[in-house]
This record gives sequence, structure tokens and C-alpha cells, in this order.
Amino acid sequence: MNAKPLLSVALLTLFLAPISGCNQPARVVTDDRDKIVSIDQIDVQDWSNAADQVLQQLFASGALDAAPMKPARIEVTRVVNDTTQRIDTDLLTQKIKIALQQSGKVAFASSDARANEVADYRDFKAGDDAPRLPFFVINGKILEIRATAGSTKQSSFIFQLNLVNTAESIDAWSGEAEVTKQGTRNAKNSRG
Amino acid sequence: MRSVITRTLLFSTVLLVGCYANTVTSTQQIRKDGWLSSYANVRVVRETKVSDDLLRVDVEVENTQPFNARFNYKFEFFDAEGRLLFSPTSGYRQEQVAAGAFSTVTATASDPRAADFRLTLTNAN
Repeated sequence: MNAKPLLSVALLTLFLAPISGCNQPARVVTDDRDKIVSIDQIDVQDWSNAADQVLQQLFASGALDAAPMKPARIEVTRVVNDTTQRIDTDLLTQKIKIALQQSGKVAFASSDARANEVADYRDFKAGDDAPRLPFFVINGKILEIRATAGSTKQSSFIFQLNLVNTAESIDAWSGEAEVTKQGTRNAKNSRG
Repeated sequence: MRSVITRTLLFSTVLLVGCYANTVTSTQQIRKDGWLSSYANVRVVRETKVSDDLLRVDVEVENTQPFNARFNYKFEFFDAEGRLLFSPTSGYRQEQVAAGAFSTVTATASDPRAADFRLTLTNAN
């Protein structure tokens, strides 16, 4: 009996087994602990972590309660990206917006041009020429600090937000959140 | 015969280890996985209101081990009828606690309907 085909099959199996073992079929990840942790970039779970930190500070400060009427009109003006990454700051501001709206303490001014046009027309018809001014304005900045020690890399992302009281033009509240990640390579999850 | 005994013992050990890792110690509000139950001691739970009507929870966790530990935690909030309230910022966070030290994990519900909470603590070492 010729043993060559059998030997070939055995060798092929031997080579293919580890390769197929490394392959992971795609799956939907809902648990934050299973999400990839990158050292040098802001991961999806980092945005909610940062938003949670600043929101807790904001609610604890009681600054939103200074508004004479509830819900107080509020606008997000600008969040500056001062990192090396190209990021959409809406990933932070939208979470903050949803949570603040849920609290019932503020109402966000729409940035939709058509909606503003319709509202202006209604005001005009009603003889109301007072501009719709926000009582609060939110602005901020996202910064990045990197460090290395041997093969270990570390990235810190700092999320700074200010709540401006437009009646007095003062920062009614300022908050900061930090997310720092360290390692030699990215990790598949944060379960340890 | 000896092989059968060895296999039985091995199988039982695997089963026991599996059971231990999946054990969840739980009160109504705080759930810990099996490994964490042995070294993370929840000392104080404070429930207060901030910004008039928002539920804030502070939980002090003690690391009873003689070395540093790391754990994941997640807060969820429920309304008075026990319905889970959606939060755009909910998810697992990670915390490091030095040997024998305390760490306070906190959460504030963004929804004023929040009446109760659940904290899940899992091992991250």
C-alpha cells in the first residue's frame, strides 16, 4: 500500500489545524468586556466611559439647576479635537445630549436648518421677534498624551467640557474625564 | 481500572472548577462572580439624590487580598416598576484596587424615574 497520500493528508491536516484554530467567525459583541482594547486610539467603550465620567460630575455639581426655567435651552458649540486621530466628536456629545435630555433639565436647540426656518416663520406670524437664545452653551476639547517605557506604550485621552452660563458669560461648570490605556499590544478584550 | 478512576477524578475536578467559576453571589442589588466573591468585599452602599431628583449610588469595594486586584463593574438603573432604564453611557468599567485598599465606584442615573439599581462586579485579573 502506498503511504504517500496518507502522509500528505496527515501533513496537510497538521498545517491547517492551527490556522483554522486561529480563525474566529464574526459575531456581534454586546458586552463591553469583549470589545477590543487598543492602546493608541479611542475605542467605542472609551466614549461612553468618558461621557459617563463628565455627566456624573455635571449632575453632582448642580450647575444645571441654576437656570430660571426648566428645561433650559442649551447648545453644543464646539468640541476641539486636539489628538492625533481623526475623530468625530459627536461620539461624545451625542451621549451627553441623550443623557441630559433624559434628565429633563435641558432642551437642546436643534441644528436642523429647516426646523429653524419653520420656527422663525411661526414666530413671525405670531408677532414674536425675540430670538431663541440658549441659556447654556457646552464647549470642550479632547487631548492626547503618549508615553513609552521600553516596549510598553501608554496613551491617555483627556476629555474636557465646560458649561457656560450665557446670562453672565461665565463657566458655570467645568469637568474632565481621563481614559488611560497601557500595554505592549492591543487586546481582544478586557477580561484579563 | 486505574484509568477509569483517573478519568472520573479528572472529570469531577473539571466539573467542580466549572461550577465554581460560574457561581454568582448575589443580593438584589449587587452581583459578584465566583472568583471575585472571595476577595472583593462590598463595605458601604450609599444612595443619594443629586441635582434634585437623580439617583446617585456610591459603593465602596475592599480588596481583601495581599496583592493588587482589578475588576469590571457595571451599574444598571430601574424604575419603580422594575423596568430597566436605557442609558447611553451604561457599560462595564474597569477599576484597580491596591492590596488591602478600598475603591469607591459610583454611578448617577440620568433618568429621574430611576428608583433602584443593580451593580455587577466581575473579575478582570
